[in-house]
Amino acid sequence: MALVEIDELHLTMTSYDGAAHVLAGVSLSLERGEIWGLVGETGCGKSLTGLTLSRLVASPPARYLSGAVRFDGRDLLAADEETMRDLRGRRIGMIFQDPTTNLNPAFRVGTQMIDVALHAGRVDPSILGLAAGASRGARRRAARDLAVSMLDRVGIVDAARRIDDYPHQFSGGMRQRVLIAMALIGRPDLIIADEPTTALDVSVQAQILALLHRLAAEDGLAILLITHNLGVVAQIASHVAVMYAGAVVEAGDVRAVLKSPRHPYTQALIAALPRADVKRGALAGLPGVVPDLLTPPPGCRFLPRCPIGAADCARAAPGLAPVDTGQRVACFRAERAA
Amino acid sequence: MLTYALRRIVLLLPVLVGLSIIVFAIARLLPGDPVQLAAGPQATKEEIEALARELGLDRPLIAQYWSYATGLLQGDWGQSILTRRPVWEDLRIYLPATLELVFAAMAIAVAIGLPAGLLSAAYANRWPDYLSRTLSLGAISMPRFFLGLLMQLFFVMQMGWLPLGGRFPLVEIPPPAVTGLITLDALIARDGGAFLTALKHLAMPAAAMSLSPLATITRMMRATTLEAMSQDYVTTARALGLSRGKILFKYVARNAASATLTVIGLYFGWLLAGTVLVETVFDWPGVGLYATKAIATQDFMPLMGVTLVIGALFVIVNLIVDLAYGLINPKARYA
Amino acid sequence: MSAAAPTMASARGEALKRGFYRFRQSWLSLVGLAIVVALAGLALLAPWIAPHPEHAAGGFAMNARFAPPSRVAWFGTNELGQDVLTLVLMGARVSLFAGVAVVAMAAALGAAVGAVAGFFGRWVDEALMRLTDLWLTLPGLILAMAIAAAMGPGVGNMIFAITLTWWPGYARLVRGEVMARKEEVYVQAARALGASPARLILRHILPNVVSPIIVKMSLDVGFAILTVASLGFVGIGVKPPTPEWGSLLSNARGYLPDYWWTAIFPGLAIFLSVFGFNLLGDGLRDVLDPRARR
Repeated sequence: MALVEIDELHLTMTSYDGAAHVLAGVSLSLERGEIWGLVGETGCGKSLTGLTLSRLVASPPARYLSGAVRFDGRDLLAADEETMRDLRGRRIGMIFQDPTTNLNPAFRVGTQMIDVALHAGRVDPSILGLAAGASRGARRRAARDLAVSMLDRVGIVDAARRIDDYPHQFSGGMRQRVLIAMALIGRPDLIIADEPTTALDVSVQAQILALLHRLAAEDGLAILLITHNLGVVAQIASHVAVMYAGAVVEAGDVRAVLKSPRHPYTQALIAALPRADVKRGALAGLPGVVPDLLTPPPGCRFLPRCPIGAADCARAAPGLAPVDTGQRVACFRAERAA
Repeated sequence: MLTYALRRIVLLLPVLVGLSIIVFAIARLLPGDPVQLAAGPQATKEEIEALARELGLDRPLIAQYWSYATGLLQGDWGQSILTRRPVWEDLRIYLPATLELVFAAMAIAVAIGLPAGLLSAAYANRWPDYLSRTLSLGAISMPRFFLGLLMQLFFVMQMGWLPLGGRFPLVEIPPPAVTGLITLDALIARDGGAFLTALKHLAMPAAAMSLSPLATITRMMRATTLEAMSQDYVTTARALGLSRGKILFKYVARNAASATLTVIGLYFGWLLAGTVLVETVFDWPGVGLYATKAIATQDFMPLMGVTLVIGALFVIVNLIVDLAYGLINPKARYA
Repeated sequence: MSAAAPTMASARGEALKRGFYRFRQSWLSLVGLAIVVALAGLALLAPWIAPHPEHAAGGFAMNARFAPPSRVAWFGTNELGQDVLTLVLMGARVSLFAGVAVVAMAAALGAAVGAVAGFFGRWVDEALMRLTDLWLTLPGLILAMAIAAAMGPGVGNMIFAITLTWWPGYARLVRGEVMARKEEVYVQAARALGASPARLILRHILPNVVSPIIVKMSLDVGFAILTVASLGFVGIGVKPPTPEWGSLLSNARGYLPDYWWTAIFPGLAIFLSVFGFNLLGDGLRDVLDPRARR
């Protein structure tokens, strides 16, 4: 049984303009030790998919229509807030894009980490290395020690002293390390990293990616890496899922997908990557725009922009189906696209 | 931090000079002849001219301003026609009373306003929020002098619980003046009876006075809390399992409160000027009552003095709030 | 150009529709609107609907002094036997007119200062804004009282005095908006075509900053009414027999607690009108200034 299973998830967001069908059949499954890259353009629903795993999408305006989200066999869509809180920070850690805004500027780094450690320790006392009935003072001391060792582990030099610094006293890359340490405190099974390197300098990006890669290997973590950057995926992911307009259109082993993409959208994405052997200015652009999710086109949502689409693609939305190179593709004409 | 503070303090000087120029200009440009008023209605032309020379009012305006400004620095703030005492002496007596009133009102407003705003935001668009928003709008709309009268009607004339007005009974001896704030002085003198008496006198004026800062702080706190609740660090905290209560009362509350407290500085000067009405209703011997009486008798020197003191206090308090904000918010310190 | 015009018009219509939708969603704004409309109607009709219009001109009836509220005199009578309901109704004319006039004049004065400062920039801006900031530190109410007292009694003098303390807020607001607008393409285009500064400000810039000004004005009317009443309460501004809510209340203080009705009704009138305008102003801000919406 997979650690994470998202099965045909449909979700709408209601606004003044009406209900937008923003997730239309998202399917995804992660095993321990796998790093999944979830790629797609802005607004395709990749961040939302990450947030549904922690049930952090406010509802209303969101409404779950159908499908399932399971974590370690547990149905998360049926879970109450208490259950979810026990998972968050303990078994599911999250890392977000901008390390500057994701740490509270008015509190010491240590204060924020210790609160997360105490929460994880409340769910599972063994995380703090204490028995169930330990005193408040003992728990605080253990939480602080744990926070220091985590900072040390993510590569913060002189962690025992730096823990009492304020966020603004760290550089951007160091702040992201602090946030990674915070996400790791509860010894989670799954880390959801939403564009963790987008706000950082290119040189720092590589360090953070290497760190995530190392941690995943050491702890056997599953990582869901949400990004719009296929380059990042190619660097550290073992698997990749491509999303378009609220649905996963292609998913599978990272080498198979990048080397022989079968969905026309994936093909366009890869063709748009700047490459050394292609002349500048020869980037393949995709005609048309992302559909309006308030009134999505019938059938396959990619049809209006698809180079190989046919009239019958508008009858129904294609489901994910395996192709000869191993990955799964949501396209009626995927075999022809080879 | 220190150089920043020093620079801000030095920058204060031109502001204070500008303030004195404006006050002087307004006083001179107003219709009504101060010499005529000072000399009295029966004065002859010669008497008026003699008085004008004596007061230096026949000289060019710039010369008049110069002697006014240098006088200010030496503690010569002019003479009150009404009390026949130097304005500076009067201000030294009346200002502490007004400050006591304003501090008490602010304390009430902060103590109630911060939690009320926080809860209002926590229950945004549900009934506690609507209740608090309607009440604050009502509080802002309530004339302080009308509320004062209503309180007198109920607490004094109906129930007989509190004194009608004044600051301390004339027949009793107040605690020795240290700070000039009678409640504080009573505490310093360890005089519980005097403290209680002073508090009873202070209660109604302070409550009436606190109404509009209370409403403003509540509304401001609600807005800053909502703003803080939409920040990324709140999402991170929730994603890592912290409870809503912990996030709201520990993390969001501090960020929202430090943003809200800067409003208090802006409000302080406004409150100082606004004591006029409450002091009139409760016969509270502060600068507001002093100014009202001066206006009624066209007594200009006290009026200029009060305007200047309140303006200066306003600027200084703003500076203090700015510096204090740097202490609460570690990030602003280096900006 | 001709193809873009209808889209722009419909976008504006759509924005208005959404704004109106939000306004109607807000139950409190509708209550505010109702209060304001009712007050304005009563004020306009006061000479015809007040039971004893002659009392507002100084007439009295010493045989009917201090009558408590009854079916004959709903709000009772005062120490001169004057009908309190009449005085409050006629007082609405003074208060509402003065409140609106103060805000309108302050907005005009402040907009002029702010537009000049924002448009010309450099030392003009520097000088005008320093003056504005200094002015903001002065205690407004005391200043207004002093000016009104020096100028003598009268509604016009009082309005003028309050206006003098009220303009800096508008100056700051308009300056900021003008600075933001003057670099926009349509202004630059008009400038390139040789439009004069006055024409640029009046025709091209100010019309585009109207909505924040209206929002501020609507929020300010309530406080202007409150300030008018405050001056009346300390005995400055309008002189008897002209009925003014603040001075009615001040006068009634001497007859508490026995003749409470002489104080309660003028006080309630002030509260209700300020409350109505504040509710309305809040609602309008939500509609016209989505940035401030929370």
